[in-house]
Amino acid sequence: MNLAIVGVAALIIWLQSEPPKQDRIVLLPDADGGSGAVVVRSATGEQLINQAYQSAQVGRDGAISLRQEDAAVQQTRYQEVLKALPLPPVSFTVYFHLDTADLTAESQAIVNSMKAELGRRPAPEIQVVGHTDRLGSNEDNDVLSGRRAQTVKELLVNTGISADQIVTSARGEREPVIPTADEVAEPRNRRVVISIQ
Amino acid sequence: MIFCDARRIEGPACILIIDFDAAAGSPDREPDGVFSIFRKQVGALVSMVYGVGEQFFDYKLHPAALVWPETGTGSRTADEQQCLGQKLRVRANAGSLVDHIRNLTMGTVMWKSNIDPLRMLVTALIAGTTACAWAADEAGTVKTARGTVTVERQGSKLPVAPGFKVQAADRVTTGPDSAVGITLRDQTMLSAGANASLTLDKYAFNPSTHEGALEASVRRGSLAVISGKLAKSSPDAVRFRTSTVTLGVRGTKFVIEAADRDE
Repeated sequence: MNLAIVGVAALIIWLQSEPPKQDRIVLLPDADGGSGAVVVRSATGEQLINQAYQSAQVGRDGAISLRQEDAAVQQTRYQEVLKALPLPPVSFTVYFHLDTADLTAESQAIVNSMKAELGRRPAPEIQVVGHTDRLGSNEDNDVLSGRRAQTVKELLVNTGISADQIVTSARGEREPVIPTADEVAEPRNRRVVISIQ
Repeated sequence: MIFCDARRIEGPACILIIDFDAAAGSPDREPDGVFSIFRKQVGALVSMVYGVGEQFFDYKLHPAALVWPETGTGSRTADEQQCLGQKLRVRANAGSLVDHIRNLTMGTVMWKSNIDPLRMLVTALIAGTTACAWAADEAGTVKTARGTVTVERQGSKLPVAPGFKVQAADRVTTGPDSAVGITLRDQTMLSAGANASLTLDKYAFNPSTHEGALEASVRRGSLAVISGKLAKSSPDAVRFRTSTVTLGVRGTKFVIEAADRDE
């Protein structure tokens, strides 16, 4: 009889030490400390997690249970997977001056920072995105922003950066820094954003 | 025989295509590959994105790209009228065009029937000067890799190191004590821990409009995600999946742990 009890106790201890066979989703704080949200949908239900360190654990039957995890999971359970995340992209904004093809001192400083970034990243890629203000039609601004991006790409290539690493895109008037009504000139929207990822 | 006499498309384009798989089976196909009569008329008016046309019709990258000259006129819908512009002539093998379009067009395909059966029409409206240097299938780039990391692609197992270009449909697996980090074109960042298996089911991203789609499934292991431009502009276009749940993402950082189930 004692052997049976010991046997059952051993079984219970063994079962509790096994990793849980359940899917789990944990929301982590953003770079700026906020948290987004994740909607978790199973076959039988749906739950929203929208607080940092909130987790949803899903049973085989689809039951979703919410819990609050300790912030320390980032250093324990998730340390390796979080360590493997790539460096976040960095961006540089160049304001477009139509009347010069030379780099100003500020632009040269930007190029130096960019080269430093390129040096510290494995397999770096550069995205050059042109933007316009809302003066002009959408189509014209698509073309104009494309040309701006292309011009900046050429400037970068002239500084020695390989053209293969640079991809250009035209965002047109879709993403103003300073929102304006249509057909309003706004120099701060006339820009090219260079991102390195 | 493969050739391309089209200029690079360097801007948005509309392409009207026909189901070439069916067309390829037509006995009317001439030996040099020029189709003159087609049996099936399922067409797709496809709105293309900046740069897609360039890779797509750049025969150096995709020798299978194709277009057929218009040999006559038929009545057209308003959508088709909108797309008509310069006509291009390019050639290709059947099937690959549709596959490429499916992968690249993010759900803008509209299927029509009863398109004029006697002709294949491809027209392109060339606008803008944006040149996209991405290969058409590239979804992202591996930035970190530790231990054993492999990508299964079309039956092949490819070793992975930083710089590896990940494509949609790739399955990324890691061994024990291994990890991998990937940045996608829309700046979504992913990382997988040890003994993980994750598939990038679907990926498309238009850098001009920020339209696109991202779908990934985690079969086992841990996946960390920092969402990018796709989730910011169309959260419904980003989906992660495990065997028990689908996740909708609202601009965020999270970790998915998928339990290993022997299925």
